[in-house]
Amino acid sequence: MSQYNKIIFTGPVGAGKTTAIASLSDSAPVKTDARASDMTKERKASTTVALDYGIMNLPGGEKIHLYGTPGQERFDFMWDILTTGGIGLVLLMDNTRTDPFQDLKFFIGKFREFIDQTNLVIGVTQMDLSRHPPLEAYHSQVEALGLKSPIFEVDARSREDVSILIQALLYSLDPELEETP
Amino acid sequence: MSQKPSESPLRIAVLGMDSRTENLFRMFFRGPCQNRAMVVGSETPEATLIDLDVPQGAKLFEQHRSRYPQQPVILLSINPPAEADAHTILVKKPAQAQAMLAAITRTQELVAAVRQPRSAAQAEPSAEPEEAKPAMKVVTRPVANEGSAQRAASLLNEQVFKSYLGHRDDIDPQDPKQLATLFYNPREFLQGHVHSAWEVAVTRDLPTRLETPWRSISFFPDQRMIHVAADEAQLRAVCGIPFRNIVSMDVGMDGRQSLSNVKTITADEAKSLLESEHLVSLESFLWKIALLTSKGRIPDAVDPLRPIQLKRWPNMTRITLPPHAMRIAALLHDSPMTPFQAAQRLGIRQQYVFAFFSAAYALGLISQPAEGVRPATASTQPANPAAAEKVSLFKKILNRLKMS
Ligand SMILES: Nc1nc2c(ncn2[C@@H]2O[C@H](COP(=O)(O)OP(=O)(O)OP(=O)(O)O)[C@@H](O)[C@H]2O)c(=O)[nH]1
Ligand SMILES: [Mg+2]
Repeated sequence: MSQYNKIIFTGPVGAGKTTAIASLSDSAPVKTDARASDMTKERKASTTVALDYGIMNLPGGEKIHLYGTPGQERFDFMWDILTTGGIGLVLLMDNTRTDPFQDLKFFIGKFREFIDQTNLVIGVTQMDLSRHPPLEAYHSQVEALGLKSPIFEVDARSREDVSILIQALLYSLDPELEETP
Repeated sequence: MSQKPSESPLRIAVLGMDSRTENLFRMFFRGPCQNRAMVVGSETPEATLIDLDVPQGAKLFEQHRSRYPQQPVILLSINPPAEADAHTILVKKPAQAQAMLAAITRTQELVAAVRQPRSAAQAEPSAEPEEAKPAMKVVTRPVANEGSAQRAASLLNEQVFKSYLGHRDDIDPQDPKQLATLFYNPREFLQGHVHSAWEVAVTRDLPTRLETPWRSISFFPDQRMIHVAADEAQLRAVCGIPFRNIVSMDVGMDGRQSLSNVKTITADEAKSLLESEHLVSLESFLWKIALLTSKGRIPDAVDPLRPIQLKRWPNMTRITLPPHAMRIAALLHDSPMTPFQAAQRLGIRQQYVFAFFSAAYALGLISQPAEGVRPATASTQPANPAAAEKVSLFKKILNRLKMS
Protein backbone atom coordinates (compact mmCIF):
# COMPACT_ATOMS: atom_id res chain seq x y z
CA MET A 1 0.00 0.00 0.00
CA SER A 2 1.11 3.47 -0.77
CA GLN A 3 2.65 5.42 2.00
CA TYR A 4 1.20 8.56 0.49
CA ASN A 5 -2.23 8.24 1.88
CA LYS A 6 -3.05 11.38 3.78
CA ILE A 7 -4.56 14.69 2.84
CA ILE A 8 -4.09 17.37 5.43
CA PHE A 9 -6.64 20.11 6.02
CA THR A 10 -5.59 23.14 7.93
CA GLY A 11 -6.67 26.71 8.52
CA PRO A 12 -7.91 29.03 11.23
CA VAL A 13 -10.70 28.42 13.70
CA GLY A 14 -14.06 28.07 12.00
CA ALA A 15 -12.71 27.93 8.43
CA GLY A 16 -14.64 24.74 7.76
CA LYS A 17 -12.04 21.98 8.17
CA THR A 18 -14.28 19.65 10.14
CA THR A 19 -17.16 20.30 7.75
CA ALA A 20 -15.03 19.73 4.63
CA ILE A 21 -13.70 16.43 5.92
CA ALA A 22 -17.22 15.37 6.77
CA SER A 23 -18.33 16.25 3.22
CA LEU A 24 -15.77 13.86 1.73
CA SER A 25 -15.60 11.13 4.29
CA ASP A 26 -17.18 7.72 3.83
CA SER A 27 -17.47 6.93 7.48
CA ALA A 28 -18.74 9.38 9.98
CA PRO A 29 -15.67 11.43 10.71
CA VAL A 30 -14.14 11.24 14.09
CA LYS A 31 -14.61 14.66 15.52
CA THR A 32 -12.90 15.87 18.57
CA ASP A 33 -14.83 19.03 18.94
CA ALA A 34 -15.37 20.52 22.32
CA ARG A 35 -17.28 23.54 23.37
CA ALA A 36 -15.23 26.49 22.47
CA SER A 37 -13.48 28.23 25.27
CA ASP A 38 -11.80 31.60 25.60
CA MET A 39 -10.80 33.14 22.26
CA THR A 40 -13.00 31.10 19.98
CA LYS A 41 -16.08 31.55 22.08
CA GLU A 42 -17.59 34.48 20.32
CA ARG A 43 -17.34 32.95 16.92
CA LYS A 44 -18.71 29.47 17.25
CA ALA A 45 -20.14 27.00 19.70
CA SER A 46 -17.70 24.15 19.14
CA THR A 47 -14.12 23.91 18.00
CA THR A 48 -11.82 21.02 17.23
CA VAL A 49 -9.40 20.43 20.06
CA ALA A 50 -7.40 17.49 18.69
CA LEU A 51 -7.63 16.27 15.13
CA ASP A 52 -10.37 15.70 12.65
CA TYR A 53 -10.18 12.40 10.93
CA GLY A 54 -12.11 10.95 8.02
CA ILE A 55 -11.64 8.16 5.50
CA MET A 56 -12.21 7.95 1.78
CA ASN A 57 -12.41 4.35 0.67
CA LEU A 58 -10.90 3.68 -2.72
CA PRO A 59 -11.59 0.82 -5.08
CA GLY A 60 -9.20 -2.03 -4.29
CA GLY A 61 -9.42 -1.51 -0.57
CA GLU A 62 -7.05 1.42 -0.27
CA LYS A 63 -7.96 4.26 1.98
CA ILE A 64 -7.18 7.92 1.97
CA HIS A 65 -6.96 9.40 5.39
CA LEU A 66 -8.20 12.92 5.80
CA TYR A 67 -6.73 14.81 8.70
CA GLY A 68 -7.80 18.17 9.96
CA THR A 69 -5.66 20.17 12.29
CA PRO A 70 -7.21 21.95 15.18
CA GLY A 71 -7.70 25.58 14.39
CA GLN A 72 -6.18 26.87 17.55
CA GLU A 73 -2.56 27.72 17.35
CA ARG A 74 -1.54 26.15 20.58
CA PHE A 75 -1.89 22.68 19.11
CA ASP A 76 0.76 23.15 16.49
CA PHE A 77 3.21 20.70 18.08
CA MET A 78 1.42 17.89 16.27
CA TRP A 79 1.69 19.27 12.81
CA ASP A 80 5.03 17.71 11.83
CA ILE A 81 3.99 14.20 12.70
CA LEU A 82 0.81 14.74 10.83
CA THR A 83 2.32 15.70 7.52
CA THR A 84 4.59 12.68 7.09
CA GLY A 85 3.29 10.75 4.12
CA GLY A 86 0.87 13.49 3.17
CA ILE A 87 -0.16 13.97 -0.45
CA GLY A 88 -0.67 17.68 -0.10
CA LEU A 89 -2.10 20.47 1.96
CA VAL A 90 -5.59 21.89 1.80
CA LEU A 91 -5.62 25.30 3.41
CA LEU A 92 -9.07 26.62 4.23
CA MET A 93 -9.38 30.33 4.87
CA ASP A 94 -12.35 32.05 6.49
CA ASN A 95 -13.10 35.21 4.53
CA THR A 96 -14.95 36.81 7.43
CA ARG A 97 -11.91 36.90 9.68
CA THR A 98 -10.47 40.28 10.56
CA ASP A 99 -7.14 39.66 8.89
CA PRO A 100 -7.29 36.61 6.65
CA PHE A 101 -3.89 37.38 5.15
CA GLN A 102 -2.24 37.15 8.51
CA ASP A 103 -3.82 33.71 8.84
CA LEU A 104 -2.61 32.85 5.38
CA LYS A 105 0.99 33.73 6.16
CA PHE A 106 0.82 31.95 9.46
CA PHE A 107 -0.39 28.66 8.05
CA ILE A 108 1.81 28.72 4.97
CA GLY A 109 4.76 29.45 7.27
CA LYS A 110 3.94 26.54 9.56
CA PHE A 111 3.61 24.10 6.67
CA ARG A 112 6.16 25.59 4.31
CA GLU A 113 8.44 22.57 4.18
CA PHE A 114 5.55 20.25 3.53
CA ILE A 115 4.16 22.55 0.83
CA ASP A 116 7.50 22.72 -0.91
CA GLN A 117 7.70 18.94 -0.97
CA THR A 118 4.13 18.40 -2.06
CA ASN A 119 1.53 20.92 -3.08
CA LEU A 120 -0.95 23.43 -1.79
CA VAL A 121 -4.52 24.31 -2.61
CA ILE A 122 -6.48 27.05 -0.91
CA GLY A 123 -10.21 27.15 -0.37
CA VAL A 124 -11.67 30.44 0.79
CA THR A 125 -14.84 29.77 2.76
CA GLN A 126 -17.66 32.03 3.95
CA MET A 127 -17.46 34.10 0.79
CA ASP A 128 -21.23 34.00 0.75
CA LEU A 129 -21.02 36.10 3.90
CA SER A 130 -18.18 38.36 2.85
CA ARG A 131 -16.89 38.98 -0.69
CA HIS A 132 -13.90 40.87 0.64
CA PRO A 133 -11.08 40.32 0.25
CA PRO A 134 -11.52 38.93 -3.27
CA LEU A 135 -9.65 35.89 -4.53
CA GLU A 136 -7.24 38.08 -6.53
CA ALA A 137 -5.92 39.49 -3.29
CA TYR A 138 -5.25 35.97 -2.02
CA HIS A 139 -3.39 35.19 -5.23
CA SER A 140 -1.22 38.26 -4.79
CA GLN A 141 -0.42 37.33 -1.19
CA VAL A 142 0.48 33.78 -2.11
CA GLU A 143 2.63 34.91 -5.02
CA ALA A 144 4.42 37.33 -2.71
CA LEU A 145 5.41 34.27 -0.68
CA GLY A 146 6.92 32.74 -3.80
CA LEU A 147 4.13 30.21 -4.31
CA LYS A 148 1.52 29.57 -6.97
CA SER A 149 -1.53 27.59 -6.11
CA PRO A 150 -5.13 26.98 -7.04
CA ILE A 151 -7.33 29.27 -4.93
CA PHE A 152 -11.06 28.71 -5.10
CA GLU A 153 -14.16 29.93 -3.41
CA VAL A 154 -15.36 26.96 -1.40
CA ASP A 155 -18.34 26.32 0.77
CA ALA A 156 -17.12 23.57 3.08
CA ARG A 157 -20.67 22.27 3.31
CA SER A 158 -20.69 21.54 -0.42
CA ARG A 159 -19.15 18.22 -1.30
CA GLU A 160 -18.74 19.34 -4.89
CA ASP A 161 -16.74 22.41 -3.93
CA VAL A 162 -14.47 20.38 -1.68
CA SER A 163 -14.12 17.72 -4.36
CA ILE A 164 -13.04 20.24 -7.00
CA LEU A 165 -10.47 21.60 -4.58
CA ILE A 166 -8.99 18.14 -4.00
CA GLN A 167 -9.03 17.39 -7.71
CA ALA A 168 -7.02 20.56 -8.31
CA LEU A 169 -4.53 19.38 -5.69
CA LEU A 170 -4.06 16.05 -7.44
CA TYR A 171 -3.90 17.49 -10.94
CA SER A 172 -1.41 20.13 -9.97
CA LEU A 173 0.78 17.38 -8.62
CA ASP A 174 0.47 15.64 -11.98
CA PRO A 175 -1.49 17.33 -14.80
CA GLU A 176 -1.22 14.28 -16.98
CA LEU A 177 -3.22 12.05 -14.70
CA GLU A 178 -5.83 10.48 -16.85
CA GLU A 179 -9.45 10.51 -15.96
CA THR A 180 -9.98 6.77 -16.01
CA PRO A 181 -8.11 4.14 -14.03
CA MET B 1 -61.43 28.44 -34.92
CA SER B 2 -60.86 30.08 -38.23
CA GLN B 3 -61.72 33.63 -39.10
CA LYS B 4 -62.34 35.43 -42.29
CA PRO B 5 -58.92 35.79 -43.73
CA SER B 6 -57.18 39.13 -43.99
CA GLU B 7 -59.84 41.23 -42.25
CA SER B 8 -59.20 40.64 -38.60
CA PRO B 9 -55.61 40.23 -37.48
CA LEU B 10 -54.12 36.77 -37.68
CA ARG B 11 -53.95 35.34 -34.17
CA ILE B 12 -50.46 34.02 -33.56
CA ALA B 13 -49.11 32.18 -30.55
CA VAL B 14 -45.39 32.43 -29.96
CA LEU B 15 -43.31 29.50 -28.81
CA GLY B 16 -39.94 29.46 -27.13
CA MET B 17 -39.60 33.20 -26.77
CA ASP B 18 -39.07 35.08 -23.60
CA SER B 19 -41.46 37.86 -22.72
CA ARG B 20 -39.16 40.53 -24.05
CA THR B 21 -38.91 39.02 -27.50
CA GLU B 22 -42.60 38.30 -27.42
CA ASN B 23 -43.24 41.95 -26.70
CA LEU B 24 -41.02 42.94 -29.55
CA PHE B 25 -43.13 40.89 -31.89
CA ARG B 26 -46.29 42.44 -30.49
CA MET B 27 -44.87 45.82 -31.40
CA PHE B 28 -43.59 44.57 -34.70
CA PHE B 29 -47.02 43.24 -35.70
CA ARG B 30 -48.75 46.38 -34.54
CA GLY B 31 -46.33 48.75 -36.22
CA PRO B 32 -44.38 47.59 -39.26
CA CYS B 33 -46.90 44.81 -39.96
CA GLN B 34 -49.87 47.19 -39.85
CA ASN B 35 -51.88 45.17 -37.36
CA ARG B 36 -52.21 42.28 -39.75
CA ALA B 37 -51.32 39.89 -36.96
CA MET B 38 -51.44 39.85 -33.19
CA VAL B 39 -49.83 37.78 -30.47
CA VAL B 40 -52.32 35.78 -28.45
CA GLY B 41 -52.00 33.37 -25.56
CA SER B 42 -52.21 29.67 -26.26
CA GLU B 43 -56.07 29.57 -26.14
CA THR B 44 -57.14 30.22 -29.68
CA PRO B 45 -54.23 30.74 -31.99
CA GLU B 46 -54.62 30.30 -35.70
CA ALA B 47 -50.93 29.94 -36.23
CA THR B 48 -47.75 29.66 -34.23
CA LEU B 49 -44.53 31.58 -34.50
CA ILE B 50 -41.41 29.61 -33.57
CA ASP B 51 -37.83 30.75 -33.40
CA LEU B 52 -35.82 27.79 -34.62
CA ASP B 53 -32.55 29.26 -33.39
CA VAL B 54 -33.22 29.15 -29.69
CA PRO B 55 -31.47 26.12 -28.20
CA GLN B 56 -34.62 24.04 -27.86
CA GLY B 57 -36.12 25.52 -31.03
CA ALA B 58 -35.97 22.45 -33.24
CA LYS B 59 -37.44 20.32 -30.52
CA LEU B 60 -40.22 22.80 -29.85
CA PHE B 61 -41.10 22.82 -33.49
CA GLU B 62 -41.09 19.04 -33.71
CA GLN B 63 -43.30 18.66 -30.68
CA HIS B 64 -45.65 21.29 -31.90
CA ARG B 65 -45.85 19.63 -35.29
CA SER B 66 -46.67 16.25 -33.88
CA ARG B 67 -49.46 17.70 -31.79
CA TYR B 68 -50.84 20.02 -34.43
CA PRO B 69 -49.89 18.55 -37.79
CA GLN B 70 -51.85 21.08 -39.79
CA GLN B 71 -51.65 24.28 -37.87
CA PRO B 72 -49.70 26.86 -39.83
CA VAL B 73 -46.33 27.67 -38.36
CA ILE B 74 -44.17 30.64 -39.14
CA LEU B 75 -40.64 29.42 -38.59
CA LEU B 76 -37.95 32.02 -37.99
CA SER B 77 -34.31 31.26 -38.46
CA ILE B 78 -31.05 32.82 -39.48
CA ASN B 79 -30.51 29.72 -41.58
CA PRO B 80 -33.93 28.40 -42.51
CA PRO B 81 -33.96 24.74 -43.53
CA ALA B 82 -34.08 24.11 -47.25
CA GLU B 83 -37.50 22.56 -47.13
CA ALA B 84 -40.55 22.74 -44.96
CA ASP B 85 -43.87 20.93 -44.79
CA ALA B 86 -46.88 22.43 -46.47
CA HIS B 87 -48.10 24.16 -43.32
CA THR B 88 -44.86 25.81 -42.46
CA ILE B 89 -43.71 29.16 -43.73
CA LEU B 90 -40.07 30.02 -43.41
CA VAL B 91 -38.94 33.53 -42.59
CA LYS B 92 -35.30 34.35 -42.60
CA LYS B 93 -33.93 36.45 -39.80
CA PRO B 94 -33.42 39.33 -39.55
CA ALA B 95 -37.16 39.41 -40.07
CA GLN B 96 -38.09 42.24 -42.35
CA ALA B 97 -41.59 43.66 -42.31
CA GLN B 98 -42.05 42.79 -45.97
CA ALA B 99 -41.17 39.14 -45.50
CA MET B 100 -43.31 38.93 -42.42
CA LEU B 101 -46.28 40.49 -44.18
CA ALA B 102 -45.94 37.95 -46.99
CA ALA B 103 -45.80 35.17 -44.41
CA ILE B 104 -48.92 36.49 -42.72
CA THR B 105 -50.80 36.55 -46.01
CA ARG B 106 -49.71 33.03 -46.82
CA THR B 107 -50.71 31.87 -43.33
CA GLN B 108 -54.14 33.39 -43.68
CA GLU B 109 -54.58 31.48 -46.90
CA LEU B 110 -53.62 28.27 -45.12
CA VAL B 111 -56.00 29.01 -42.28
CA ALA B 112 -58.79 29.50 -44.77
CA ALA B 113 -57.86 26.25 -46.52
CA VAL B 114 -57.88 24.16 -43.38
CA ARG B 115 -61.09 25.73 -42.27
CA GLN B 116 -62.84 22.51 -41.36
CA PRO B 117 -62.41 22.45 -37.59
CA ARG B 118 -60.28 19.62 -36.49
CA SER B 119 -59.35 18.52 -33.06
CA ALA B 120 -55.81 19.52 -32.57
CA ALA B 121 -55.00 16.36 -30.66
CA GLN B 122 -55.75 14.13 -33.63
CA ALA B 123 -52.39 13.76 -35.22
CA GLU B 124 -53.02 11.85 -38.39
CA PRO B 125 -50.54 12.85 -41.04
CA SER B 126 -52.13 10.38 -43.47
CA ALA B 127 -55.37 12.34 -43.31
CA GLU B 128 -53.71 15.45 -44.61
CA PRO B 129 -55.12 16.61 -47.87
CA GLU B 130 -51.91 18.10 -49.14
CA GLU B 131 -49.08 15.77 -49.86
CA ALA B 132 -47.32 17.66 -52.56
CA LYS B 133 -44.26 18.59 -50.59
CA PRO B 134 -42.05 16.21 -48.72
CA ALA B 135 -42.18 16.56 -44.98
CA MET B 136 -39.67 18.91 -43.57
CA LYS B 137 -36.57 17.37 -42.11
CA VAL B 138 -35.66 19.15 -38.98
CA VAL B 139 -32.08 18.55 -38.03
CA THR B 140 -32.38 18.33 -34.33
CA ARG B 141 -29.45 19.22 -32.22
CA PRO B 142 -29.43 16.98 -29.20
CA VAL B 143 -30.68 19.21 -26.45
CA ALA B 144 -30.33 18.28 -22.83
CA ASN B 145 -33.36 19.24 -20.83
CA GLU B 146 -32.98 22.42 -18.88
CA GLY B 147 -32.85 20.58 -15.60
CA SER B 148 -29.67 18.82 -16.56
CA ALA B 149 -28.47 21.90 -18.38
CA GLN B 150 -28.40 23.66 -15.05
CA ARG B 151 -26.08 21.04 -13.66
CA ALA B 152 -24.14 20.86 -16.87
CA ALA B 153 -23.59 24.57 -16.58
CA SER B 154 -20.98 23.97 -13.97
CA LEU B 155 -19.48 20.90 -15.63
CA LEU B 156 -19.76 20.43 -19.36
CA ASN B 157 -18.73 16.95 -20.31
CA GLU B 158 -17.67 16.19 -23.87
CA GLN B 159 -21.15 15.22 -24.95
CA VAL B 160 -22.93 18.26 -23.58
CA PHE B 161 -20.16 20.50 -24.83
CA LYS B 162 -20.64 19.12 -28.30
CA SER B 163 -24.39 19.48 -28.29
CA TYR B 164 -24.16 23.09 -27.11
CA LEU B 165 -21.09 24.28 -28.91
CA GLY B 166 -20.48 21.85 -31.73
CA HIS B 167 -17.54 19.76 -32.79
CA ARG B 168 -14.33 21.09 -34.27
CA ASP B 169 -11.73 18.83 -35.75
CA ASP B 170 -8.11 19.15 -34.73
CA ILE B 171 -6.12 21.25 -37.11
CA ASP B 172 -2.59 21.17 -38.40
CA PRO B 173 -0.85 24.26 -37.00
CA GLN B 174 1.53 24.26 -39.97
CA ASP B 175 -1.30 24.69 -42.44
CA PRO B 176 -2.21 28.39 -42.74
CA LYS B 177 -5.58 27.57 -44.25
CA GLN B 178 -6.61 25.41 -41.35
CA LEU B 179 -5.11 27.85 -38.92
CA ALA B 180 -7.26 30.63 -40.30
CA THR B 181 -10.43 28.80 -39.28
CA LEU B 182 -9.37 28.97 -35.68
CA PHE B 183 -10.09 32.63 -35.05
CA TYR B 184 -13.08 34.71 -34.11
CA ASN B 185 -13.41 38.39 -33.38
CA PRO B 186 -14.97 38.94 -29.93
CA ARG B 187 -16.00 42.46 -30.94
CA GLU B 188 -18.48 41.02 -33.40
CA PHE B 189 -20.30 39.28 -30.58
CA LEU B 190 -22.04 40.27 -27.40
CA GLN B 191 -18.76 39.41 -25.69
CA GLY B 192 -17.04 42.49 -27.11
CA HIS B 193 -19.86 44.82 -26.05
CA VAL B 194 -19.79 43.38 -22.54
CA HIS B 195 -16.05 43.82 -22.22
CA SER B 196 -16.07 47.44 -23.31
CA ALA B 197 -19.03 48.24 -21.07
CA TRP B 198 -17.21 46.73 -18.13
CA GLU B 199 -14.20 48.91 -18.89
CA VAL B 200 -16.43 51.98 -18.93
CA ALA B 201 -17.98 50.96 -15.62
CA VAL B 202 -14.57 50.49 -14.04
CA THR B 203 -13.25 53.79 -15.39
CA ARG B 204 -16.27 55.69 -14.12
CA ASP B 205 -16.31 53.58 -10.98
CA LEU B 206 -20.10 53.68 -11.05
CA PRO B 207 -22.90 51.19 -11.63
CA THR B 208 -23.32 51.19 -15.37
CA ARG B 209 -25.79 49.73 -17.79
CA LEU B 210 -25.20 48.39 -21.24
CA GLU B 211 -28.39 48.81 -23.21
CA THR B 212 -28.84 46.61 -26.22
CA PRO B 213 -31.96 45.74 -28.14
CA TRP B 214 -31.46 42.21 -26.84
CA ARG B 215 -31.44 42.99 -23.15
CA SER B 216 -29.81 45.37 -20.80
CA ILE B 217 -26.85 44.24 -18.77
CA SER B 218 -25.84 46.07 -15.61
CA PHE B 219 -22.32 46.26 -14.24
CA PHE B 220 -21.35 46.89 -10.64
CA PRO B 221 -17.63 47.57 -10.42
CA ASP B 222 -17.53 47.79 -6.62
CA GLN B 223 -19.16 44.42 -6.14
CA ARG B 224 -17.63 42.97 -9.29
CA MET B 225 -21.10 41.75 -10.16
CA ILE B 226 -23.18 41.70 -13.30
CA HIS B 227 -26.94 41.67 -13.65
CA VAL B 228 -28.61 40.17 -16.68
CA ALA B 229 -32.07 38.63 -16.81
CA ALA B 230 -31.29 35.73 -19.11
CA ASP B 231 -31.10 32.01 -18.48
CA GLU B 232 -28.46 29.60 -19.74
CA ALA B 233 -30.25 28.80 -22.95
CA GLN B 234 -30.83 32.43 -23.81
CA LEU B 235 -27.18 33.23 -23.19
CA ARG B 236 -26.09 30.37 -25.39
CA ALA B 237 -28.36 31.61 -28.13
CA VAL B 238 -27.20 35.21 -28.00
CA CYS B 239 -23.52 34.28 -27.87
CA GLY B 240 -23.86 31.86 -30.73
CA ILE B 241 -24.33 34.33 -33.56
CA PRO B 242 -22.87 37.73 -34.39
CA PHE B 243 -24.56 40.35 -32.28
CA ARG B 244 -25.54 42.45 -35.26
CA ASN B 245 -27.74 39.63 -36.53
CA ILE B 246 -29.55 39.33 -33.25
CA VAL B 247 -30.10 43.02 -33.06
CA SER B 248 -31.53 43.28 -36.54
CA MET B 249 -34.10 40.65 -35.66
CA ASP B 250 -35.65 43.44 -33.66
CA VAL B 251 -37.02 44.95 -36.76
CA GLY B 252 -38.74 47.77 -34.95
CA MET B 253 -35.27 49.23 -34.53
CA ASP B 254 -34.77 49.33 -38.26
CA GLY B 255 -31.04 49.85 -37.87
CA ARG B 256 -31.64 53.31 -36.50
CA GLN B 257 -30.51 52.49 -33.02
CA SER B 258 -26.92 51.64 -32.27
CA LEU B 259 -26.08 48.11 -31.20
CA SER B 260 -25.39 49.15 -27.68
CA ASN B 261 -25.44 52.10 -25.44
CA VAL B 262 -23.69 52.61 -22.11
CA LYS B 263 -25.39 54.58 -19.35
CA THR B 264 -24.92 55.24 -15.68
CA ILE B 265 -27.53 53.77 -13.35
CA THR B 266 -29.15 55.66 -10.51
CA ALA B 267 -28.36 54.55 -6.98
CA ASP B 268 -31.94 53.36 -6.37
CA GLU B 269 -31.98 51.25 -9.46
CA ALA B 270 -28.60 49.82 -8.62
CA LYS B 271 -29.80 48.88 -5.17
CA SER B 272 -32.76 46.92 -6.42
CA LEU B 273 -30.74 45.18 -9.13
CA LEU B 274 -28.12 44.17 -6.59
CA GLU B 275 -30.82 42.38 -4.64
CA SER B 276 -32.14 40.58 -7.66
CA GLU B 277 -31.68 36.89 -8.31
CA HIS B 278 -30.09 37.47 -11.70
CA LEU B 279 -26.85 38.70 -10.23
CA VAL B 280 -23.68 36.85 -11.19
CA SER B 281 -20.04 37.44 -10.50
CA LEU B 282 -18.08 39.28 -13.15
CA GLU B 283 -15.61 36.45 -13.52
CA SER B 284 -18.13 33.69 -13.99
CA PHE B 285 -20.08 35.78 -16.51
CA LEU B 286 -17.09 36.84 -18.61
CA TRP B 287 -15.83 33.28 -18.49
CA LYS B 288 -19.13 31.86 -19.60
CA ILE B 289 -19.78 34.18 -22.51
CA ALA B 290 -16.21 33.73 -23.72
CA LEU B 291 -16.70 29.98 -23.64
CA LEU B 292 -20.06 30.14 -25.42
CA THR B 293 -18.77 32.55 -28.02
CA SER B 294 -15.45 30.87 -28.69
CA LYS B 295 -16.87 27.35 -29.05
CA GLY B 296 -13.27 26.24 -29.24
CA ARG B 297 -11.98 29.03 -31.44
CA ILE B 298 -9.66 31.74 -30.17
CA PRO B 299 -9.70 35.54 -30.30
CA ASP B 300 -7.99 36.82 -33.42
CA ALA B 301 -5.55 38.88 -31.36
CA VAL B 302 -3.79 35.76 -30.13
CA ASP B 303 -0.90 33.87 -31.68
CA PRO B 304 -1.58 30.18 -31.06
CA LEU B 305 1.87 29.17 -32.23
CA ARG B 306 3.55 30.87 -29.30
CA PRO B 307 3.70 29.27 -25.86
CA ILE B 308 1.12 30.44 -23.37
CA GLN B 309 0.87 30.12 -19.64
CA LEU B 310 -1.96 30.25 -17.14
CA LYS B 311 -0.97 33.00 -14.71
CA ARG B 312 -3.52 32.05 -12.07
CA TRP B 313 -6.12 29.38 -11.71
CA PRO B 314 -9.64 30.61 -12.33
CA ASN B 315 -12.17 30.11 -9.56
CA MET B 316 -13.04 26.60 -10.67
CA THR B 317 -15.85 26.04 -8.18
CA ARG B 318 -17.92 28.90 -9.58
CA ILE B 319 -17.48 28.74 -13.33
CA THR B 320 -18.67 26.56 -16.17
CA LEU B 321 -16.02 23.91 -16.63
CA PRO B 322 -15.45 22.79 -20.21
CA PRO B 323 -14.18 19.22 -20.73
CA HIS B 324 -10.77 18.50 -19.15
CA ALA B 325 -10.62 21.97 -17.60
CA MET B 326 -8.79 20.74 -14.50
CA ARG B 327 -6.05 19.02 -16.42
CA ILE B 328 -5.64 21.87 -18.90
CA ALA B 329 -5.42 24.39 -16.07
CA ALA B 330 -2.89 22.32 -14.16
CA LEU B 331 -0.72 21.81 -17.22
CA LEU B 332 -0.75 25.41 -18.44
CA HIS B 333 -0.20 26.66 -14.92
CA ASP B 334 2.79 24.42 -14.57
CA SER B 335 4.78 25.45 -17.62
CA PRO B 336 4.38 27.45 -20.83
CA MET B 337 3.52 25.61 -24.02
CA THR B 338 1.42 26.17 -27.09
CA PRO B 339 -2.23 25.11 -26.98
CA PHE B 340 -1.39 22.51 -29.62
CA GLN B 341 1.28 21.01 -27.41
CA ALA B 342 -1.07 21.01 -24.43
CA ALA B 343 -3.71 19.08 -26.36
CA GLN B 344 -1.12 16.58 -27.44
CA ARG B 345 0.32 16.15 -23.98
CA LEU B 346 -3.10 15.52 -22.49
CA GLY B 347 -4.29 13.39 -25.38
CA ILE B 348 -7.44 15.48 -25.85
CA ARG B 349 -8.99 17.38 -28.73
CA GLN B 350 -7.57 20.83 -29.43
CA GLN B 351 -11.04 22.32 -29.28
CA TYR B 352 -11.17 21.81 -25.51
CA VAL B 353 -7.83 23.50 -24.98
CA PHE B 354 -8.89 26.44 -27.14
CA ALA B 355 -12.22 26.75 -25.34
CA PHE B 356 -10.49 26.82 -21.97
CA PHE B 357 -7.84 29.15 -23.32
CA SER B 358 -10.38 31.67 -24.67
CA ALA B 359 -12.31 31.77 -21.43
CA ALA B 360 -9.15 32.21 -19.37
CA TYR B 361 -7.92 34.84 -21.82
CA ALA B 362 -11.13 36.80 -21.33
CA LEU B 363 -10.36 36.97 -17.61
CA GLY B 364 -6.81 38.13 -18.24
CA LEU B 365 -5.39 34.90 -16.84
CA ILE B 366 -3.20 34.06 -19.81
CA SER B 367 0.29 35.30 -20.45
CA GLN B 368 2.51 34.75 -23.43
CA PRO B 369 6.02 34.63 -22.04
CA ALA B 370 8.62 36.53 -24.01
CA GLU B 371 10.02 34.92 -27.13
CA GLY B 372 12.89 32.65 -26.40
CA VAL B 373 11.27 30.84 -23.51
CA ARG B 374 11.43 27.28 -24.57
CA PRO B 375 8.15 25.50 -24.26
CA ALA B 376 8.11 22.45 -22.09
CA THR B 377 8.28 19.33 -24.16
CA ALA B 378 9.38 16.51 -21.92
CA SER B 379 6.55 14.62 -20.41
CA THR B 380 6.65 14.31 -16.64
CA GLN B 381 6.19 10.60 -16.59
CA PRO B 382 6.81 9.00 -13.24
CA ALA B 383 10.47 8.06 -13.05
CA ASN B 384 10.48 5.43 -10.36
CA PRO B 385 8.18 2.76 -8.98
CA ALA B 386 7.22 4.81 -5.95
CA ALA B 387 6.09 7.63 -8.21
CA ALA B 388 4.14 5.22 -10.40
CA GLU B 389 2.41 3.92 -7.33
CA LYS B 390 1.54 7.46 -6.36
CA VAL B 391 0.05 8.13 -9.78
CA SER B 392 -2.14 5.08 -9.57
CA LEU B 393 -3.33 6.14 -6.15
CA PHE B 394 -4.13 9.63 -7.38
CA LYS B 395 -6.19 8.20 -10.20
CA LYS B 396 -8.18 6.18 -7.74
CA ILE B 397 -8.84 9.22 -5.60
CA LEU B 398 -9.96 11.17 -8.65
CA ASN B 399 -12.34 8.48 -9.69
CA ARG B 400 -13.72 8.29 -6.21
CA LEU B 401 -14.24 12.07 -6.15
CA LYS B 402 -15.98 12.06 -9.50
CA MET B 403 -18.20 9.13 -8.69
CA SER B 404 -21.07 11.09 -7.25
N1 LIG C 1 -22.04 30.44 5.46
C1 LIG C 1 -21.04 29.55 5.33
N2 LIG C 1 -20.79 28.70 6.33
C2 LIG C 1 -19.79 27.81 6.19
C3 LIG C 1 -19.02 27.75 5.01
N3 LIG C 1 -18.11 26.77 5.16
C4 LIG C 1 -18.31 26.25 6.39
N4 LIG C 1 -19.32 26.87 7.02
C5 LIG C 1 -19.82 26.69 8.38
O1 LIG C 1 -18.83 27.25 9.25
C6 LIG C 1 -18.89 26.61 10.53
C7 LIG C 1 -17.50 26.23 11.00
O2 LIG C 1 -17.06 25.08 10.33
P1 LIG C 1 -16.13 23.98 11.02
O3 LIG C 1 -16.04 22.88 10.04
O4 LIG C 1 -16.55 23.68 12.40
O5 LIG C 1 -14.77 24.77 11.09
P2 LIG C 1 -13.35 24.22 11.58
O6 LIG C 1 -12.35 24.73 10.61
O7 LIG C 1 -13.40 22.77 11.79
O8 LIG C 1 -13.18 24.99 12.93
P3 LIG C 1 -12.23 24.61 14.21
O9 LIG C 1 -12.42 23.16 14.48
O10 LIG C 1 -12.72 25.46 15.30
O11 LIG C 1 -10.85 24.96 13.84
C8 LIG C 1 -19.83 25.43 10.35
O12 LIG C 1 -21.06 25.79 10.91
C9 LIG C 1 -19.95 25.27 8.85
O13 LIG C 1 -21.19 24.73 8.48
C10 LIG C 1 -19.31 28.69 3.95
O14 LIG C 1 -18.68 28.73 2.89
N5 LIG C 1 -20.33 29.55 4.17
MG1 LIG D 1 -13.04 21.67 13.40
